[in-house]
Amino acid sequence: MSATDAKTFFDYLNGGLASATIKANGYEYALDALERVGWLTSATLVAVTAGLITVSFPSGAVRLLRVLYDNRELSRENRATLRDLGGPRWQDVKGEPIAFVEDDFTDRTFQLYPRATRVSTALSYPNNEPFGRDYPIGAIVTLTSDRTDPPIWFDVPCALIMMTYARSLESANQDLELAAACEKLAQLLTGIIDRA
Amino acid sequence: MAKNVADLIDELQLRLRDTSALALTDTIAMRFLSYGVGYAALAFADTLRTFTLTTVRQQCLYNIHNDVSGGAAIVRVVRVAVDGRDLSYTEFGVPGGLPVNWPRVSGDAYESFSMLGKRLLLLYPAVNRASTATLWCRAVPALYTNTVTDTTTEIADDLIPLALTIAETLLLVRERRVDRLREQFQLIQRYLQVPQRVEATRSQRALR
Repeated sequence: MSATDAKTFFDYLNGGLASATIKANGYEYALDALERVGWLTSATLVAVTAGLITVSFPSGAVRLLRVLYDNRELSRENRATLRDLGGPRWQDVKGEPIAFVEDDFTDRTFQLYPRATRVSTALSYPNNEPFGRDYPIGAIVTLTSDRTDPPIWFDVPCALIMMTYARSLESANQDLELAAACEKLAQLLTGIIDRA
Repeated sequence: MAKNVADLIDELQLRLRDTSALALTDTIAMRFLSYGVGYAALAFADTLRTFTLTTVRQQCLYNIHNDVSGGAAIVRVVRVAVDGRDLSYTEFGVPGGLPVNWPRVSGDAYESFSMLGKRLLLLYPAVNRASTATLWCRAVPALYTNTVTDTTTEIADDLIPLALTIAETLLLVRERRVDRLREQFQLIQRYLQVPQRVEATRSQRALR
C-alpha cells in the first residue's frame, strides 16, 4: 500500500527522528501538495431529488473539474451569466440542468441551473456496473480532483515533501537547508512524472 | 554491456563510503536504487508497458488504478487499442473534441480515448458489448515496487547514470549532506536535458 511505503521511505530518509504526530501532519501536508497537482481524479454518482439545486462535493473531493447530468456535460458558469439567463430569481427556475456554478458562500458545494425537476432512478447496481449497464437515469456525475493516498509512483516525492515539512518545523531537528533541498528534489521528481 | 542490480549496489556503496555516517546495508541500497531506476525509466521514456482492461457494456469511464490489473504502476496511457483497432486521442473540453452529450453516446465501436488527470480513462463512445482493450502505458518498472529481489536483474545502460545519481542523491538526503546535494541536482538536471537518451524510434514517435 502506497501510504505505508511513502511513510516507510520517510523514516528511511529521516532516520526515525520524527514523532508520530509530525509524521501524520507531514503526510497530510504532502497530500495537499499532491492534490494541487490535480492528478488524482475520480467520478462519483449523485442522486437527484425533485427541485434539487445545491449539491455537495463527494467525500475526499477538493476541486470540481466537471459535472455531468444524465446525457450531457454541464457548462460552468458564473452568477452574472445565470442572472442573464434566468433573471434575478434564476435559482427558482426549474427544468433540465444545463449549467452549474460553484457556490461562493458555502464551501464544497455547487448549484445547478435550472433546478432539476426529474428524480433520478435509484443508485442500485444489480450488475455491479454503476457506470455501465446500471448507470442511473437522471443522476449527476461529478468529476473531481481528490485528496487521497498517493499512487506508488509518488512515494518518493511524498516522502520528500514530508521531510520538507518535518525539517522546517521549529524544533531541535530543524534544518532549513535540508528542507529546501528536499523540496527541490521533490519538484525534480514530480517534473519527471509530469513529463513521462 | 548491461550491469545488474548487484553491480549497481556495489557502485552505490562505493560512492557513499567516504560520507556514510549511517550504516548502509545492501537492502537499503537496493531500495534506494529501485526508486532511482524507476524514475530514470520514466525520465527517458524507456519502455512502454502493456496492460489489459476488460471493458464493460455501456461504460465509458474507467479508473485505471482500480480497474486495470497492476494499474497502480501506470503514470500515463499513451496508446489504446480495442480488438486490434487503435483509438485516437481526444482532449476534454477543446473544440473538435468530445461532444457535450458524450456521457450517453453509444456506438458500434470505440473511436477515441481521453484522460482526465492520471486516473480516469474515457473510452468514447460507449459500446454495448464487453471487450478487451490493450493499454500501452508509461509505468514504473517492476523493480521500482521492490517486489523484485533478484539482484541479477539487468538494468539498461542508458538508465544507469541517472538511476545511480537519483539513488545517490536520496542517500545523501538520508546522510543530511546538503553540501553534496547541490552538485547532485545539477547532475540530475544535466541528465534530464542533454540528449544522451536513445532517440525515439519511429514507432515510439508515432505512439505519442
